[in-house]
Amino acid sequence: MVSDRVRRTASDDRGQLLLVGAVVLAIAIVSLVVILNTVLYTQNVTNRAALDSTADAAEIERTVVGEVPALVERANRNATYGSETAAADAVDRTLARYGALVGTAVTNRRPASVGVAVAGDPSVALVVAHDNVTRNFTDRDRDPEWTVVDGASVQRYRLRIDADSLASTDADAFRMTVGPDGDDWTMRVHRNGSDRVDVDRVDGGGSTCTVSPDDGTVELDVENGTADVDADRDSVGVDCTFAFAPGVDPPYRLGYANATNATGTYRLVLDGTSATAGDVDTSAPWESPYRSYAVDALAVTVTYATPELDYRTTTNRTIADP
Amino acid sequence: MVGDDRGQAFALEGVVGSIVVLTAVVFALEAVVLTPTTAGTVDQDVKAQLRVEADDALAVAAEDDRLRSLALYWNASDRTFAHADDRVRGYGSTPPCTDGPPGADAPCASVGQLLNDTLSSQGYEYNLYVDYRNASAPHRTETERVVYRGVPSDNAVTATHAVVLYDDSRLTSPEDADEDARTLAAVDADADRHFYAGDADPGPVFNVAEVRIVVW
Repeated sequence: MVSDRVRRTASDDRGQLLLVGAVVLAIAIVSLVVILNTVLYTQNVTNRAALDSTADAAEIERTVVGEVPALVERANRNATYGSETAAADAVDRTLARYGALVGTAVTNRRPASVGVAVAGDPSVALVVAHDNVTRNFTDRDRDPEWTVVDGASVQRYRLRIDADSLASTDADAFRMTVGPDGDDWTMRVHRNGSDRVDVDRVDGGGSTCTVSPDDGTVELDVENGTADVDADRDSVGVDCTFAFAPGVDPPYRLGYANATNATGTYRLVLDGTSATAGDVDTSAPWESPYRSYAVDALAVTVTYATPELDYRTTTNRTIADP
Repeated sequence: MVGDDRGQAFALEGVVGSIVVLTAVVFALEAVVLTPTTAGTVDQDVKAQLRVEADDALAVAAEDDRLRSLALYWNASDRTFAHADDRVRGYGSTPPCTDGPPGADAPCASVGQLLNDTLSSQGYEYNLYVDYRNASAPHRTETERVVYRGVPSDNAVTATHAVVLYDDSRLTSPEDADEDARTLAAVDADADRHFYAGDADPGPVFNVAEVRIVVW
């Protein structure tokens, strides 16, 4: 009897155990399904839109800011300005119109608005330029010896001189003089034989650059100190390098002598606007040589706004070739 | 008697237990997860990755001005992109800016190469467009097809990159040797020659073109 009871009790326990085990197993599997479902659901409904907008804003900003120097350079050169504010206003307008065009392109694609504006006052430089290729480098009254600028510090200075217009002797050579009194550093440009041009610098020691202008044009980047003869704008080859006015501290006077013996173009950009230009045109009809103003550094604010995102950044840009 | 009753009870418990276990297993197996990809569409992450690739391809091409060269690779007399099939298909199945005759100058041929390396080599197809502002109504967008390979699928992703065309930008197609006659301002002023976009800005900007790629 006793052993029969024991056997019966053990069998009872095993049946319940099986049932409980099955139920636990079932609950575990169902829970696993629910958990996995939640993971997949979360993965698939994650909101990525905000990140996309941020990437868009950054891309628009990169594009816009990257184009600013090219826009300002063109605004500086495409017109002549009688005052600092005229130059700054022209850049302001150019950037605003550009911003409107880019903004329209973006707005047509997605609900976003783009704004481009100059922040604060841009830095303006004084420019003395000559772009009449048939006229020599004399001043407005055709004086061959004249002061181009006084109290100046050169930022960028480029000349393109027609080699045929140059004198063949040292004495008659076109001269550029730099110094507090105008002659501490002198550069002479004259022909040397039929197909070569000498660029001499006299600054205590003195040295000469000889270039062979194949196409008849000597290109001088005076401030960077390079002379080259390749007028092809796509491939600039440098023939020789030199230092501009070593030992002459700004502000200085920059003048020309024998200016009848040089024809071509030049563009002289100074640091700031405190220098005084010589006898040049300062109002319409802007005949060469003339004085103008150019923006050489500015801060640009780019705004990008969508319903979820408001992006605004101000970047400072310096114009390499104002 | 008692032993017989127990046997039936065990059998019933076993049956009920197995029913519970089997029901749970069947439920687990039948629980189909509905995701956005269930209908056969491309996974969000794959699309995001593709979009990044397309974006990067355009950014790389824009880095050294090749996208601007592409936008300017226009034959002003044929009124198509230089060496393209026509204005409807653009370059069609060939990569954009493919060289024409031997020795032809194709400054943007590497854009085609880049798109081939990044997209075509992975089995993706793409359409490439240039969107620009209408000259007389700048709020309107007009489109020129550079490469058209058909209607994109529902899974297509888009990337764009804006390039500025200036009045003094020169056409990069090998058609015209005269440097100054190739500026957009000169082409725009010449009634016999044609550029797809017009001058939409009174300042130094000619137009703002957006190079748009649709990949699927």
